[in-house]
Amino acid sequence: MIKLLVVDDSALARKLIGQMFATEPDFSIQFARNGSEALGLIALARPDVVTLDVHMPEMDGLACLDRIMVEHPCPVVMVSSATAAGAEATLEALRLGAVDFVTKPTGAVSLRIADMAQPLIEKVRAAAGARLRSSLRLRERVRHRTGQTSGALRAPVRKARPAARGEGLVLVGTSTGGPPALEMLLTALPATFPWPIVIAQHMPATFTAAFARRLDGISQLAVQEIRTSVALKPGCAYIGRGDADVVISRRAGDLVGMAAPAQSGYPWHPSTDRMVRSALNQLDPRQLIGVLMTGMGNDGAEAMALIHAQGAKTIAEAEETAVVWGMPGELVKAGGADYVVPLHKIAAQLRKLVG
Amino acid sequence: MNEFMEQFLLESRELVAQAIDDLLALGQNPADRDRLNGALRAFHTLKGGAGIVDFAAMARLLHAAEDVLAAGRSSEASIPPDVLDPCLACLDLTSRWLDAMQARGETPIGAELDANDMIARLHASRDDDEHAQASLPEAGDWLDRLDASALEAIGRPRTALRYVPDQDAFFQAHDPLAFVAALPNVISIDACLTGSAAALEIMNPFSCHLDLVVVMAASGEDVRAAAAGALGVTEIRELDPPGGVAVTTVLGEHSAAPAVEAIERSLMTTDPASVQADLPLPAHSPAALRVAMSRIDTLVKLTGELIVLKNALGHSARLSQNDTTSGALAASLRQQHAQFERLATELQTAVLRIRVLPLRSVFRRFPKLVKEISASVGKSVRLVSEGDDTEADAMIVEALFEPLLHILRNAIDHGIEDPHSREAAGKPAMGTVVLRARRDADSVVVDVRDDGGGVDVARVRAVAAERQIAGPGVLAAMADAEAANLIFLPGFSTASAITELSGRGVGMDTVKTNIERLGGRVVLETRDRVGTCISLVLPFSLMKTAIMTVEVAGQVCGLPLDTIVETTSVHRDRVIQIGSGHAVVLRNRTLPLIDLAHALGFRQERSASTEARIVVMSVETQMAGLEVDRLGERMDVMLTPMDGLLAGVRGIAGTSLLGDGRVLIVLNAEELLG
Amino acid sequence: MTVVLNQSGAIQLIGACSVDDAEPLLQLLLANPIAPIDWRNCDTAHAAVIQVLLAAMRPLRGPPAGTLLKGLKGPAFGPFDRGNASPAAPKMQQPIGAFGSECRAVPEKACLTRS
Repeated sequence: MIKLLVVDDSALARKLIGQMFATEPDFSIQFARNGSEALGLIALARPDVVTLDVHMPEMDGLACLDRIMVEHPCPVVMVSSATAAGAEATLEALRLGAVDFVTKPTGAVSLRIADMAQPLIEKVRAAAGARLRSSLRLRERVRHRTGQTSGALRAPVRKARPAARGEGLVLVGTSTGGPPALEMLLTALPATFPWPIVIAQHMPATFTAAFARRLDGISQLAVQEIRTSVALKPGCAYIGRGDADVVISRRAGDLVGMAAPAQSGYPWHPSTDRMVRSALNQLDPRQLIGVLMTGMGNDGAEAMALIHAQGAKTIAEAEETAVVWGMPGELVKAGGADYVVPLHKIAAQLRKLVG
Repeated sequence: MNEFMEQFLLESRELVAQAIDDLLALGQNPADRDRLNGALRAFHTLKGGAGIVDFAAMARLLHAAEDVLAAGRSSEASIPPDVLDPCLACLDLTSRWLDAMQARGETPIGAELDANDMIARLHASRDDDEHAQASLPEAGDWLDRLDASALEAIGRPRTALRYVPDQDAFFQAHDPLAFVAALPNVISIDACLTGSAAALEIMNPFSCHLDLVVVMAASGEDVRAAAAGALGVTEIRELDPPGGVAVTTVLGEHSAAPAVEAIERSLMTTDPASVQADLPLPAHSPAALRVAMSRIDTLVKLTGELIVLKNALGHSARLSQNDTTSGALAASLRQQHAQFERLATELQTAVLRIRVLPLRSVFRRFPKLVKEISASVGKSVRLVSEGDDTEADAMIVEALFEPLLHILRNAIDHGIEDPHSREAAGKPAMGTVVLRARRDADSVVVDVRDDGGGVDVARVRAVAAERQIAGPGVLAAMADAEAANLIFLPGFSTASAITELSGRGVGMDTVKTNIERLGGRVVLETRDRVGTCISLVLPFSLMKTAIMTVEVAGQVCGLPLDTIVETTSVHRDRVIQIGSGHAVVLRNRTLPLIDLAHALGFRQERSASTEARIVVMSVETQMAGLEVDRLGERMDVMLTPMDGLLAGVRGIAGTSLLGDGRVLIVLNAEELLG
Repeated sequence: MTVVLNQSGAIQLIGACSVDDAEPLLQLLLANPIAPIDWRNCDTAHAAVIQVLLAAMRPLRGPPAGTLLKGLKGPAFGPFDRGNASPAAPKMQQPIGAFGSECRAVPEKACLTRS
């Protein structure tokens, strides 16, 4: 039985989320109307997982999350709005230790309740079994408490564009737990990294731009979102636009990354499988490196196993560091991973492969 | 109503109240950050709720309002009052939506359009360029793209839509082509690329650069509603039905210009200045609108149907009125009927004005003809035309030529004396014929006045007697004015000499018949030695006849309103028997009284009522009373002339459809009284 | 696969062409600079596919199978079977020139209602 605590100031939202889990026999649900009520209940009932509304009166979601992480660490799934402001707050929450997030339906994309229910249940279930990264939490907590933004703690980063050394591409796929993991990976790579890096991080459309800006601010690589299409350059990392797919193509001979409307055949977007397959049409497999990191489900496992079979090198994040060892686990199980390494060693492995 | 909806309504009402509180407090103290944050939270949660119950319009609206407020928060300055007002208006609209949902249990109809309007208003309150109204890429007059075949008349309002989707449209699972194909009654779709489209070599196929023009057989209103889900910039133009000329432009606004206004505006083409002000018509916009007659006829027919519908509405209003249990229904029906009547009349007027012509188009042919005619009979006549800019229905104008020519011939041939006689009578040798047109209420009157010798009444009497057109007794009893009218009787010709002109077997009777066929009357006025004036009184249009309905022997008939002088009722004692006929004295005047039921052969015996209902009619110089059972109402009908076997029936001017589907026979007063 | 290069060297659009077909179509057009497009078996096409056709200005073998596509007007569509003709290349923003002058042409049976 999974003990779930739903924290939301809106009675309607509580009712909605409660309803969604009502059909799941392995969940028992409790509700809290605000941050202080939540903290009390967490101390008392020790839930396995918490869903936490980002925007709440009195103690808002981030403040509540921070105290949860300090006082009674447990997996938290943020419930946020799919807006730019919501994106900033949610990314901050992920840095503070939230495992994952879901977005509330808004008018712009009129979701039906069932559409939200499935991802929410899956994410909450996965989060209930997720591992918490204490080191990251501590650092971020200090940052949050002192009111500093992450970028302010770092020296200004010089972005020197390296010369292209042969043509090649690193393709990264990740989902649950991906944002902090990507942060760790990209900050560990130098500005001189010779192959462009294209990343499929499952995220809503409104989040990826904010996420790319954030990564750009803290890493030596230049990071940008692929909004429409962009020529892929060395020393740069590209985040596929959320709620859409990213495909690799060529224009006037140059490699480009292009956002494409989400293809219905793939359950998650941006789809790692679709990205990897499109790259295979443009490049020799030996010019490709696939990296599959933390995330539930199996997106990317099939396509990466395919390029592995055709001669590309692939890296799967090890189970010990993955928040959810779904996607990398599937790749490993399919025998498609050349290297299975913990998160903090993926950057070094990449440098070795392109060096 | 499901439990979510109930919860939603409950929570939303509280939030709306809270947000209004906060906004009002902000109005008092614009720097109050707590109030601002409170309002923002309320908007945010309201939006979230709307998303949960799948009320997209509300979520969109509140999202926009939240954006506007949030922009105020991020700037250091206080919230300007011109931001608060539209936000309060948003809450007001939200409140109304909530009421509607409470009542009906579903999201309110038209919410998308309301939301669009309000969002536009919100954006207008922000002075930054970023949120300025998106504008369409310039492409000259995009109506030029329309294929001629798309503009073929099909007797319905047609509307063109230009749709330039957002470049991002494909990412919203939106297929602009499928979207426009699903619009109502699509006639044609034209696709081209916008100027921002890249060459194929560097093209991003997922960035939308389409520029679509769709023509639909639908009203602008319908198109506007259907196009509400467009992701991008749309421009809607209502096309006038036959010519393919845009009559109204609606860009990013949702207040509808009614069809009537549109047609009215299209008629302003005589005033180029006003046209240019409103419409981006190409420079070569013609001063005259050339319209195929067939297309106009379609409109005319439609209008006719509308009139029938109007009468039907009136009928149901009356029906419901008799039903005492539904007084409210009756009131609303009456009100609807009144509105409908106004609309129908406006539309009719507008349509009529499409097919009017100035009389100039027929008048201008006469000076040359008058010269020829007068030369051929050795007379000197000048023709003076007045009021040739008076307008009338094109068909009437066209049909006037023959009768007018005949009257002019008569005036020159018989009216104007030869120069010697004129000089002897102290008149200028040159005769004058004045051709004068004027508008008189709903009629157009054309006078042909000559300064000749007038109708020789003695001669008319003689000819009438000679040709046995009237008995000697009747002739003797006739006043001079009445006798002069004998010239309109079939077969009458007073020409003492068979001239080149009048030997054609066409008399004034033909003139009279032709004018009456057009729904008009001929009035003769003549003064011995001073001259003659023949007036043609014609309806402004062929379409509308004002009538009054009367009931006799259970049968409803219409009487042309323009022949009715008054209606009254008199005690049967005052009905005087004169020979086999009856008469009644009204205001010291003795009027023959005709029992309509008897005249129409419905009934022989007199009505038993003590009061006789009488319609006093005046035709030409005669007045008479028509006895009816009941007086009905005034209405405008489309008069259909009798044709086929019934064409020859005397006393009937035509028929019209009544609201309840019955055929209304409209009587010809002239023939009844004659 | 609804976009293929057939044996006669024409790029064929088959069945329902979705938004995903736009990029493969574009790739085929770029790789085969003179290949004509054959859309006689095309039932429906997403707007993204249509705009690639508009940008390509290739000879278009038609008419297409789908009613909506058949009725589509614009610089790239119709007259059909232009297989032999050299690709017409009017300026993109400028739609078929003839329309501008023809659309207000006076029908034969016309009367002057205003002067």
